[in-house]
Amino acid sequence: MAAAAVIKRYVGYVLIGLGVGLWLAALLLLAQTAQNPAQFGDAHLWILFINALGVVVLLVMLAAKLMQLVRDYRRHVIGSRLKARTVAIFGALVIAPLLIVYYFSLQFLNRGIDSWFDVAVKQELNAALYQSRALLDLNRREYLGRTERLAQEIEGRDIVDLLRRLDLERRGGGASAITLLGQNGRILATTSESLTGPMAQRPSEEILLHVQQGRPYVSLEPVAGGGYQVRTAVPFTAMGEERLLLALYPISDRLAALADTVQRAHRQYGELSYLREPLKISFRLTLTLVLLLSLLAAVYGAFFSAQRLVKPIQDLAAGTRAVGKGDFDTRLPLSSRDEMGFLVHSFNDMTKRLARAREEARRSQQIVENERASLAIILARLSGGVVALEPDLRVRFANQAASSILGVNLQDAAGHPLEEFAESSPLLAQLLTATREHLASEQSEWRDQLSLSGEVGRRVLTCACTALPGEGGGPGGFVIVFDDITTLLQAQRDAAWGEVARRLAHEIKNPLTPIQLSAERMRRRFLDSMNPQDAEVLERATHTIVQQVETMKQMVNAFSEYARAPDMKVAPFDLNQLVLEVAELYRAQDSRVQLKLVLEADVVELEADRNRVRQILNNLVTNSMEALEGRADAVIEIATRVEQHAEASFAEVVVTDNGPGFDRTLMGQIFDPYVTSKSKGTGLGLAIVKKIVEEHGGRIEADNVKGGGARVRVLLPLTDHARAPAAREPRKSEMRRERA
Amino acid sequence: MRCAREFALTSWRTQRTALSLAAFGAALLAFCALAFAQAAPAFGVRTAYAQLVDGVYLLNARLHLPLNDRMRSAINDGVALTLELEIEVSGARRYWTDETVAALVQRYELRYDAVSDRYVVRNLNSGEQSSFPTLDASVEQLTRISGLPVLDQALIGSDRRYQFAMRASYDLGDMPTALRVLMFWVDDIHGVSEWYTWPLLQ
Repeated sequence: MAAAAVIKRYVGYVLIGLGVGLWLAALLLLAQTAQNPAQFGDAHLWILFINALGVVVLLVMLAAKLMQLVRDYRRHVIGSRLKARTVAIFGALVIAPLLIVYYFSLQFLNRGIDSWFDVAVKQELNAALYQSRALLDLNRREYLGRTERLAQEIEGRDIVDLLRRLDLERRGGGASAITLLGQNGRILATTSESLTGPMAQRPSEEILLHVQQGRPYVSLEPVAGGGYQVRTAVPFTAMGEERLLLALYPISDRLAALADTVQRAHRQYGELSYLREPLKISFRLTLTLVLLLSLLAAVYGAFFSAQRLVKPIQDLAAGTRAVGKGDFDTRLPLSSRDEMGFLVHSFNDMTKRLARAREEARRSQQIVENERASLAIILARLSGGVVALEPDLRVRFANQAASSILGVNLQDAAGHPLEEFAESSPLLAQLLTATREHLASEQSEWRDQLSLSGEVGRRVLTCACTALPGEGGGPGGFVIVFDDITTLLQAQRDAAWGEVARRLAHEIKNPLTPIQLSAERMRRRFLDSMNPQDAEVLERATHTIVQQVETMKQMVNAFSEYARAPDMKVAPFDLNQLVLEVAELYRAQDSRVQLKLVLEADVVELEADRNRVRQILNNLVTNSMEALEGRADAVIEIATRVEQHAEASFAEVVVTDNGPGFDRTLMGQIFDPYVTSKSKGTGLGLAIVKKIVEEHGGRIEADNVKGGGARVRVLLPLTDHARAPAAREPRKSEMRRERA
Repeated sequence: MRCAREFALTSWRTQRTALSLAAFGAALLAFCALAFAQAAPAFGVRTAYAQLVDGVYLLNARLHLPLNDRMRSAINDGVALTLELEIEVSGARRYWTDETVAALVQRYELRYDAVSDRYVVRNLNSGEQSSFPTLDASVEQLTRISGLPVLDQALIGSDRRYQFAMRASYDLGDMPTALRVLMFWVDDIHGVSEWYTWPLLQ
């Protein structure tokens, strides 16, 4: 396509160059003919040819331009209509006066040439001719008369006298030659100015024809080199034979000059008359060619001007289209310094500014993208949950920690209302409710600690909400940042309870023994010396003291157990075997409770402190049996299996009962000391279980079964080697929970 | 059957087209023949021969120069008629182009002298002239070439074949070349005959 355009442009240049060259050649020829008119005949042909060629070249160029214009017009190329209109106007402005000039020039030409052949000129020429003829006719008659008189004079003379008379007559009568012919054309006598004169020739057939008819002959003959002569021939009879007297009389120089002038004028007029039509045609053709050249050049000029006019507009349109497509690097050529040039300059300035603005916007966008990416990374790494909401509580953004804390995937929730996800997440539903309450009270910025109950227990979140700047003064959205501090609170509680236990062990256990010993001593010393009534009172009082002290000892021991430092004796043992032993023990104690075991064969060996694991099982089964008291269909199920995590294997022990289950209000505190819904027990069972599990690097979870009953799930690392990562795994989980 | 019918129809159509073309061609030929038959004899060399006289070949020729009314009128108005004869004698050569032994251009002029009311025929080469009372007599004189010396016998070799060639052309009026070109459709301004050739008999 580009090659075709280049070829087309070069063809155009060649044609223009050819036209200019032809025009210069025509001018050169014209200049030469002006200096030497004799060459006009040949040069005129070349001039005509060159002009005709110029017309053809212009016609070809115009046809090409016209076809291009029609094509552009049909294709609705921008600027083609304006170009067509401009060409039409320019063409009309040029063609009309040219045609008028052409018409009047043609008329003037025809009339001018016709005027050369005016009737008066013709008549005057004819009159001059007739006068010349009449004058010369007088000469002819006179010379014929002379010849006839001479013939009469020489009729009877002898040859010598004849010659003398003829010579005398030639010299006196002004003849240039006189010849006397006898029968059969025999020359009898001749006299001439020169010996090689024309009289040596035979009489022409024309003369002989006249003579044969017996008539004298006279004629006026033009002479080679100019002038005229009168030829006479008179037949006569002398001495019995037919003779012919021939004579030539030159016309006088003055008369001959006059006759030559008339003859020349007549000839020139005749030739001009003969050339009249060709001249007319030549002038018409020349005029037509000049007109055509002017016309075509003017129309081509109109095309050129229109193109010059339309080109900046086409460039502007193309540039605008390019800008519309996002190409701000478009620059238009500055062709002129007029208003169009100013427009082009403004356009270029505009595109330059747009390009600069786009570059700045791109740079800013890049910075924003980078900052957004950094922010996303920061938010993803944040332990706290971050949820950005639209003013209508549609999710704009949520980080991974938010999903983890709330237990619902909010990563792909952008654009969806937050309420859509509240159904599948009770925590989110409560958080949403709290948020709405704050927003309803027109608190766009608030900070609160929310205690939420979920399926796995109570969760404590610290929430902070901030309004995003929006248009029109209203909030453009909200950002809720929350953190799960349940584990943190739990750890704080555990630490507090440990401290309490240590103090109890230290402060309370020590006085108990003296109290018990004092009570027993008091009983032994005063029981026998007292009357039976008092003795009974004393007996009962000391018994109560001893019993309560014992109870308090047990309680303090339990606390001591809870608060003691970990001192584990880790060794491999068969977990299933241990479960069987514990189950058999409890089956023997209470046969009303059905103990159901679901033991997986893969659980072969567990590296842990066997006694402490036994305590875990004891506490859990005891807890369930206490909860199942009074139920006829009491069932406790103990299940073991191996759970494979990414880095370690865990032995899972799940104890499930069909009792009333955990109190939902206490779900978050069931592993705390002294948190129990039962009338019996110290409230330290599950707390101790949790402590042992954590000492082993394991994890414990408690929840309610849907059909009723409680379920406690314990995960313990299978090997001591796996305990380190496994210990980390629960910590990670705890971390997450902390985040949650 | 249908194919046969179509074939027959097609051949009939082909034959009919051929017949039409033949008829058209015949009509065209007849028209052309009639047109040529009715046309006057064109300008040209009617006869020409060379005669050896005293060791010199003399040319005798008769031309045909028809004059129409326009030409007659132009001549009577004083326009000169120029006749030009181109005569060439060429000798054949083996394996090569013919050699031009002699070439001669003879020019004559016929014009009307209005003062004397006579037609003057002038040999432009020699300057000799003669006058005639009528145009036909002058044309008769112009178109009759007699005893024009063309070639010396000494220039002719006996072992080669020689050929005479003659062509005549006329111009009515001393018209510029450009005008003559512009009047190309008018055949009475300029005429050129075909070459008239004959062998030289030794």
